[in-house]
Amino acid sequence: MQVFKTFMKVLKKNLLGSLMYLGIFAILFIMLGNGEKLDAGYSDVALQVSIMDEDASEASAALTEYIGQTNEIISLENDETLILDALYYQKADYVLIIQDGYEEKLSQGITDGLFRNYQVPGSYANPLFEQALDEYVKTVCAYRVGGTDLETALERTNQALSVEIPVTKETFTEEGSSGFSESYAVFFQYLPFILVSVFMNSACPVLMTMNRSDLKKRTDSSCLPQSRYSIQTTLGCAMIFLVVWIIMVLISFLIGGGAFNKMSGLAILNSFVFAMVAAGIALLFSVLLKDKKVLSFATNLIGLGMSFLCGVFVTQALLGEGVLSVARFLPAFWYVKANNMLAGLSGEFFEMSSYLLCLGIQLGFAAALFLGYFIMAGIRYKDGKM
Amino acid sequence: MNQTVVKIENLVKRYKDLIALDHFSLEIRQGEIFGLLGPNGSGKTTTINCLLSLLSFDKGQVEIFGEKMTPTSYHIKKRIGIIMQNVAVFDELTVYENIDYFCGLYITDKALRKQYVEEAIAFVGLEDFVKFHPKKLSGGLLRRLNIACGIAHKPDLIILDEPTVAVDPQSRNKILEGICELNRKGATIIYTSHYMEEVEQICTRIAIMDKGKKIAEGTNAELKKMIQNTETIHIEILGLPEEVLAAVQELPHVYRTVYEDNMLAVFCSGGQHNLIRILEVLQNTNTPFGRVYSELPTLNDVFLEITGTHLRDKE
Repeated sequence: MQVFKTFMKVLKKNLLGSLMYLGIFAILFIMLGNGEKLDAGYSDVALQVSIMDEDASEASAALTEYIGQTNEIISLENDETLILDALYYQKADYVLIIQDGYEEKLSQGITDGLFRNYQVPGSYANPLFEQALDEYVKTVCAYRVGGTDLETALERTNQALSVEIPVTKETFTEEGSSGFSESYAVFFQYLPFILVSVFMNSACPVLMTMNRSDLKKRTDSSCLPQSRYSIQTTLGCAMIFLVVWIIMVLISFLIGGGAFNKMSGLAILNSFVFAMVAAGIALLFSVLLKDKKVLSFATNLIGLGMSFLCGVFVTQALLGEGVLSVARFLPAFWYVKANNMLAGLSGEFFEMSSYLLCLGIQLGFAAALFLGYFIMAGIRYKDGKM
Repeated sequence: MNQTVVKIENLVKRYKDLIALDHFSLEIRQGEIFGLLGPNGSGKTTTINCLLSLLSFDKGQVEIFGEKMTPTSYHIKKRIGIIMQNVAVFDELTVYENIDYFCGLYITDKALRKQYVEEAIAFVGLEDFVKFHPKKLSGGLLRRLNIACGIAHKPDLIILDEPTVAVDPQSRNKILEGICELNRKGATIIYTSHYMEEVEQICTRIAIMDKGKKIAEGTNAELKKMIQNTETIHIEILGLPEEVLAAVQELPHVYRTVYEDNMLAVFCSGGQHNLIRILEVLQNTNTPFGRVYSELPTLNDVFLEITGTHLRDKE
């Protein structure tokens, strides 16, 4: 096992790059996990609203109370300069002036000329606020038209519009729906990048060293049969492959709280198949690259490039059709698609046949990469370059 | 008569249109230090690669230790040590680990390997550098490490492919002494080089190669006997008159003269007292002269006379 032992010694010297990627991945993932917790609840948009009540009536007071239920009321002096300053410095989002004669007009069912306002141009929340205001006024008027007195109309409007519609954040990744937590899904989403990066930074430099033309020539001159040399280097590669993949699976178990069901099993299977693709990429690049100095560039090019194109960093639902049509020719696209199916992301729904198709395509890519490696290795060896 | 260790018969190796080895034959006997001398590209390394079955060849046969050599002749390979032109060691391993790795390809017994590795380290004088990584070693020490990796398993046949390229004179001498020592211990050596001085210094028999062919073979003395030149006399003369030059040319055993840059070169073929006769001519004609020295023929002269070009011209 002389070759295998040396393989491991060379690997040890090249571990730093891989550990760096694993560390970055862990930090990135922890950050993403924290981000998810902050985004856990739902609430209506609350604006900072200042109300200038020029009417000072029962109706205007009722409106002020209604607005205050869902927004933060702040007090400002009724001075245009001060109002504009407040908007400019974002102390207020919206300044509503209830005009004199508001109650009278409302009693008569008139909806025009009730308000003036100051607002931050282009704010996405202001139209929602105005829509709510319009809805309030129209509801009061509707009660009035129906013969209800103003006091009752104001009361009933407030009651009617204060009914809170229960909002629940439904995702296909909800615990129990598919066996995936959101962080679990995100972990598997990012796995192609980390697998490619780690394999490229661990297996590639070791193989590049072991297959260096002068060293290979010296080994070939020895009495060690070629088959035993190949078995021992393959064993070394397999060791890297399994150790990295098992570490990833263990992390996924930690994230998933040790829960295991059909979907998480399929996600792990999907990751195993993609790990084979990543190993194939690393093997192929170990014969394509002539200098270790370009390894880092190649890792970033393949790892980041494929991840961006295939929907690892940006979900496939947000990618353009042009990008997706290119991505279909890359293995990570099919990994992400299968993962999306399992996690219910990007509008994908799980279907076993589609999932198996994704796996099959990835296996095809892996086979092509391994074949490419053996052909290139053979050519380079024949040319005496390896 | 010593046993034949290497026998190459009619070896032909083509790279598309280029003939790297052209019906090359060779026989090396046990205990020899056999030199393969030739300019770069003459086919020395190709010969070594074919010998070790690292390269397939188009025609011919290679026998080592009396058996046909094939890529799977592992029992033959076990008795061969190879020292490459380039320093073929792992940058990631220490000096000890490197020697241990290459020795381990031949010797599986751990205790024996440890002993062999330590002996190899002592032989090349790297005792103080066992824990060093190759990048920390000087060029000369690296070459010594390269040699240790090739000889640690105590091979019967050692092939050294230009082991002294880019090595300082001190380290070069140490390497050459080491090679002679290995030979004294019983190893047969094949030594390829384009440095004729080295080959002259250590090799018991020499084959001169050019364009994939063996152009001459024999001992150092035998090769030199093949050529006309036996001595070249150089004399510094300022403004040599034509009649004096003609008188020198007329002397017995002088077959050629060259007068360039105030230096007269007189090429002699056989005879004795050539220098005295030339100096007599100069005295008789009152021709003043400065430095005088005589050179015996070198392998470069052999190469020059056979091919019409200098060994160095081809590098």
